[in-house]
Amino acid sequence: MEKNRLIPSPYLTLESIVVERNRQIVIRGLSFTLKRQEIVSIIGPNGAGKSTIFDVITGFLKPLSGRVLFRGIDITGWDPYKICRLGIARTFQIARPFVSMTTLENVVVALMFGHKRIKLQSKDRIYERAREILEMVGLGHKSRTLARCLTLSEQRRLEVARAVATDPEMLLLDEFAAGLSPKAIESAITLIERLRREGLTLLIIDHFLNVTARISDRIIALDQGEIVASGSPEEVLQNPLVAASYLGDNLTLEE
Amino acid sequence: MNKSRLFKLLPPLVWLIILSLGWIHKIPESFLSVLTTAFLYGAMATAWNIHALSGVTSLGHAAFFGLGAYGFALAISKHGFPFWTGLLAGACCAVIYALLWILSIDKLRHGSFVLATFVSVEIPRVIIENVETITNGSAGIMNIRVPNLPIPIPTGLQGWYVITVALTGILLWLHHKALFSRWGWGLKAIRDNERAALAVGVPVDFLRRLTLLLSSFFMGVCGGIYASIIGFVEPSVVFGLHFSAIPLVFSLFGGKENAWGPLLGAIILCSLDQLIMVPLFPEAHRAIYGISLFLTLWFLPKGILAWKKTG
Repeated sequence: MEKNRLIPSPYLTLESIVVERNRQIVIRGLSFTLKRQEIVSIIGPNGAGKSTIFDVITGFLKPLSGRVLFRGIDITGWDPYKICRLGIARTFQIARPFVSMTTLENVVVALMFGHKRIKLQSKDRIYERAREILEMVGLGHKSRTLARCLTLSEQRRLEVARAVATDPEMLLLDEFAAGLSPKAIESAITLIERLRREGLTLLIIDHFLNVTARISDRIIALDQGEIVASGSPEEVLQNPLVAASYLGDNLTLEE
Repeated sequence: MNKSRLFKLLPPLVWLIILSLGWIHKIPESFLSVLTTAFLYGAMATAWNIHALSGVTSLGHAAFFGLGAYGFALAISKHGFPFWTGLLAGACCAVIYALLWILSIDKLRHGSFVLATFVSVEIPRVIIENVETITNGSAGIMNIRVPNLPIPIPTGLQGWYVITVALTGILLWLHHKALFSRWGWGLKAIRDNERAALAVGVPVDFLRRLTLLLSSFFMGVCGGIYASIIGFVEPSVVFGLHFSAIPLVFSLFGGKENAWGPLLGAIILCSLDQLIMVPLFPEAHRAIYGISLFLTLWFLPKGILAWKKTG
């Protein structure tokens, strides 16, 4: 089937998602949609439910009620690995590398099991592609290092490399810039823009508001499991509710 | 290129040579019996380790072993099955029990999984002890007469040697696959980080269940072979802790993540036990297993085959 032509206009849809954790409702009837090749950021204070939404979309958490639709397919309650093969990849807030493998092998595993896994036929081709991806995130020189010996910021980049290796159509980045130096953040932004040019849709959680404002088409602000504001970066960041819940009363966005 | 191809041919060649020892008549019985025991334990350890490679530890493989032995014994002595079908029947009993594991304790991890597997051995054992009309209860089944085999292998001990070594070969191949093939990579990812493995598309539950089914099948086959060598089965023996714990000792001793680890561990420790410990300390010869486990975990937590890398 020519999927590309048949894609319905909302690419990813969340319909009144309710999530319960430890007998507490952490997401209260959340709905939003994403368009293809859009970059959307989710912001909000700790405990607002940002990572929980990622878990719901990627199947790690089953919502109490509500639906998740990707390209018109209802993926609510699917196994995470099936969702990955359908084309949604994610990174974790705390990097989870395969510690006993080298950096290159981490990416190789993702290539072997991810989205278009068998299409890279030969072993050489898989390793070649893995090296390309490592170069892209700037870890080319570390390909033989054991993942447990990488620094935290390198582990973050490895997370992104592994997610990209599954050949996704949509990428969920959880706190991609946390703990990175200003220079590393710049290269991360370049990477994100490159990924978008290659046709990916991105959903990003981040704390650096000036970075978020620069790269996102749209921002969704969450507080206590509900959307307090959504729209273009300027609109959202000047919204008094967002300022109150997230920035504190005295802070404004620095240009 | 040529060198690596040669290297690939070496293990099957060695295996063929070891297998052919079974046709040589001059090998002393005692030596052959030690070797047969060692290879049977090696097969068990390798089968156990295929499951352990999915990142969980089982202390309940005696259930599969015992069910394999009983399934075989009943099929042979009560229903007159031929040898191979008997083995298959026993192995199927083990696989059915593994399916029950999947239905009941699939979600458990770490300590609770170990405990659950440990306890699960008691269920088939108690049932077999109490259904006396079929299984003869705790007295067990004596005088299992193994029918003649339709393939040209020697009879008696030599025959058992050949069958055990052949089985070990199959298991070594599978074990090699479980370490180095595509699904071997998947298993390694699961061992390192289950959630991350799921996130890159590794079918975690499927792979773990597959290894359990394979492992239980071959553990059942081992049980059947054991029953036919010994000639009788008894619940307290075949469901004993011995058969749950010993594969673990051999695997850890030899090295869990080495294709040859479990087998080598079994060969070394079994020979030590049978040739040195039994004559010296007939009462306490099994202490060798405890001591060696303790020493490996203390000094070489990745097994003796990892010695070169760490040292």
